[in-house]
Amino acid sequence: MMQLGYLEETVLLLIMVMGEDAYGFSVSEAYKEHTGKKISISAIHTVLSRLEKKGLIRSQMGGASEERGGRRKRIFTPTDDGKSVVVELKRSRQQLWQKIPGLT
Amino acid sequence: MSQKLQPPKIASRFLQWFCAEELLEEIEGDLHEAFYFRSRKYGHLRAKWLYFTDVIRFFKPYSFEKYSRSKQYIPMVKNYFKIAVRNLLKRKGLTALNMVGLSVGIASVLMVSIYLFHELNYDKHVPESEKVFRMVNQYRDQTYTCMAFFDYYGTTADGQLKLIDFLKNYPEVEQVSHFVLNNSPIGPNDQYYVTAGDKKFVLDDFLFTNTGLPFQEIFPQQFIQGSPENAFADFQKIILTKPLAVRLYGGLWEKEQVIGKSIQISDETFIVGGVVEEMPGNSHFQFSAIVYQATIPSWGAYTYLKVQNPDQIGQVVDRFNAEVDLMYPGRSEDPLQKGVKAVALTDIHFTDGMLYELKPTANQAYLLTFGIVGIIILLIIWTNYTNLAIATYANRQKELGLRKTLGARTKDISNQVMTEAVLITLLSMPVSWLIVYSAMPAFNELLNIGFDRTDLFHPVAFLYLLLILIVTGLISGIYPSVVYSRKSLVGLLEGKLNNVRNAGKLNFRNALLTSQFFMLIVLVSITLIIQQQMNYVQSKEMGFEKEGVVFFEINGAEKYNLLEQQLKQIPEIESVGNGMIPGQDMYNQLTYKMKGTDITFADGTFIYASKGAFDVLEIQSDAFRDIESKKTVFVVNRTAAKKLATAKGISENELVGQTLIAEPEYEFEGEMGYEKVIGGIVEDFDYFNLKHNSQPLLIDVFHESAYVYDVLIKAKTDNWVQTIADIEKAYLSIEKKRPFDITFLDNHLHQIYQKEKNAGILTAGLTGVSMGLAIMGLIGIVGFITFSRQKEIGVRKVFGASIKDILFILNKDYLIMMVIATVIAAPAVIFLANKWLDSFAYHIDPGLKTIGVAGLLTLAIVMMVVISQSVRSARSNPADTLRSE
Repeated sequence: MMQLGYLEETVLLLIMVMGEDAYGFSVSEAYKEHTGKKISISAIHTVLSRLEKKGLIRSQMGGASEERGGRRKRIFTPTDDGKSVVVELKRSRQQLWQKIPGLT
Repeated sequence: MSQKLQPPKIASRFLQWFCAEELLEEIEGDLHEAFYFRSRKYGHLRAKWLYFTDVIRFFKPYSFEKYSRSKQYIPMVKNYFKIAVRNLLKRKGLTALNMVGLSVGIASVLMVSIYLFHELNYDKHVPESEKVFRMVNQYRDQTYTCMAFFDYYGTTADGQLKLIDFLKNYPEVEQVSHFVLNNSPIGPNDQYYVTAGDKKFVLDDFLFTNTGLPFQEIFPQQFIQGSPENAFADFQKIILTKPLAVRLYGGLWEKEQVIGKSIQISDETFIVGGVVEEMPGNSHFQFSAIVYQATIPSWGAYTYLKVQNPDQIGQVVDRFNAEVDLMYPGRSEDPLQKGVKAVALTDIHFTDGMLYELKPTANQAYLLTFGIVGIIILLIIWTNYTNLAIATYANRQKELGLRKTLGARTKDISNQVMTEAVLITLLSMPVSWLIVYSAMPAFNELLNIGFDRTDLFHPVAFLYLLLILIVTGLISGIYPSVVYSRKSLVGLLEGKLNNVRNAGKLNFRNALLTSQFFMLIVLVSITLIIQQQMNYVQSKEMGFEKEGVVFFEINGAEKYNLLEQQLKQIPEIESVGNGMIPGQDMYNQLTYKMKGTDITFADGTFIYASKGAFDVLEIQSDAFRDIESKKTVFVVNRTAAKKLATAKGISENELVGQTLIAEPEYEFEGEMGYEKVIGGIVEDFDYFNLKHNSQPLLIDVFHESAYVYDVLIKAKTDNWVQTIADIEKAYLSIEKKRPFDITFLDNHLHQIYQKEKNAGILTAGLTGVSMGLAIMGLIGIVGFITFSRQKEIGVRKVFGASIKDILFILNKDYLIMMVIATVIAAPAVIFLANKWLDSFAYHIDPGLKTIGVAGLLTLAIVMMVVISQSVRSARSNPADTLRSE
């Protein structure tokens, strides 16, 4: 099973949540919103490229906007691998959850 | 919404600079978006600041080209390398030629650098050299590099040390030391018999000092055996340098206990106190052994101070000059004493015109000439390889085009060109190093610089060589990489040679060619001028006869008189004399004036010579006629006569019989100065070496000299070996102690100019190298230009141009460039030549003629190259060149 760090996992999940609008800046904003912690855009970029290299997400250049000074975004979407990794993650966590006595 | 506000420019430029191309858009976009929202939320200032910090956060390997594209990067470099090697191997002959040219050129540049480095670092090896100064004395119009002892030759050990003790009391002065070298102008200049065990040598390069530990403190010697404390503990010690230790005790001396052995020098016994390393070649003095004894055999010594802080030297000198009477009583009253000065240790080698310097000072004209020649060679190499790369890639445009088609970007093409350029230069590294290593001994001898060849193994030497080569590669790659990487895909694939056809117009390559011509003309002119000057110096009338004249040293008049009697028995010997050997270095000058005038001259050189010396040198004067009865006569040379006659307001001939006063500022037996009646005039002759000539000479001529130190002999013989053997036999029958060492006058005079001659040879050699390099480059570029104009030539031929016309058209452009180059070169050459020629008393005038000749010579060579390269194109059948389109 593929090893994912906490940050990678969170970012991967965020991408899935965000659907068609996941790109560097928006992911960093979503991360802040979700965790309440600040993260720099360059750190998000590094995580995104790492996930892409692992084949969990894919990217393509998307539309430009005025806020971006006319520059295009790189839109990230999960691959099938990415999706199955998330499912697998959830499953293994669930197993552990269920074994914890007195929690349910 | 008119949101004009932009993120900080510097930050975005920085980002654009370091960021990989394919990442730039998304990163910039994200940052811009963040900036947009932040500036609404927090205000512009804060947003700007955050933009800055974000950009800096992106400054990491992730954003850099190399890493982001790491998958393709390494294989591409491998590919460049492979293609470069293939291209080199494809044309093996040309590659080899280029390699040799580059290696020789780089080696020459390296040699010149070594020479400059060696010279410019004179005495810098002395620790804290900036704190060390030499004390020099200004007397009359001359500056003496040595300080006189308080009681001159009345030498007692205490008298010699008086100045040292005096200066040591100054709070700013850390240490004071002095010494004399036997071979220095103020040294005894003796040859010493040295006896160690059963070995006997003649040695003459001792350093005498009676300030041992201070000497060690100022000029620390590296002791291989012994320690300075023991070596300088008491007098009558000798400290050997390693080479002398090897000579005396053999190569295995280190196995023996050398210290404590006794060495006999002439009649005195010395104990070996230690063995030290030799001083480096770029020290202003050198010796084979230090003789540590109570008194220094001279009337003065070279005196060195070490101060606590270099800034304090002015104070020390001022205070000394103010209280000079405490040291030299009455000196402040003496108008001829102009006070002492301090010369920084590291300036000694570059301070000209001082009396009794230990080693010839640096010839700044040479430093300049070699420096410029080195730079010229480097520039020629650079232009050559730029031209060569342009030409090579012209034939490889299809390759570059294909690369572009397959996705190579501008950056990739220029990377390839650069990689290849650097690779080619780096390949010549081992050869250039080997050339320098093997040429070093000859180079050393030619310039007499004493460079240690093992220094070439020093990492710095390799780094320097590497640096020159990499820079050469980069520079020669820049232009082609820019030109070809920017070219459009279609242009490349078509293989069109645009912007090469307009030869004759002002473009980059023509500018390069013109500057190369310029450099060649400068070099050739300078070489010609140096050769002319050396020829002039050697063929110049010296005003005396030097053929068949020999000389040697002798100790005293008594021995001389005996010898003269014997020599006159030898039939081949025509005349014998003493006191005046031409080719001298300058020595101290005295003052003189005509009696009854107020004008005192300070530039008189006094000579005491026998009439025989004038016979030997064949210098005539009416004044010598009755010398036998008159015993002595006083003559002046023409230069002095002119000065004196002008001062007195009479003609030169009227001077005879008039009275001259020598040293009018001194009192001799109640009179000021001493009177001399001018007995005659001799025509000027070159008593000094040609750097100092045309000085006024005031000569006492004796029938029989009272003080004799040398013998001059003129002989007419077919068998010099026999004659010299006869002279030696006569000498040895009188002188039992000193060895016989005879010199031919003409050889002696030749040797004085050896340094200049060698420098001339070297410049000629370097010019040859640059010529060769330039011609190689020219062949390449002319071939390329002619090739690119083949179609034009074809069309011209179709319209009826003859071969002659074609050759003219091809040559015309170079002719214009040559003329421009010659015109620019003229002032540069004249400036350089004058600088060099100024160091000679008599010199040629570097006229425009020489530059013209150099220009024509260069032109002839260029034309030959052009014609040889273009004649094939001119002859070619237009059908062949025109059929393809």
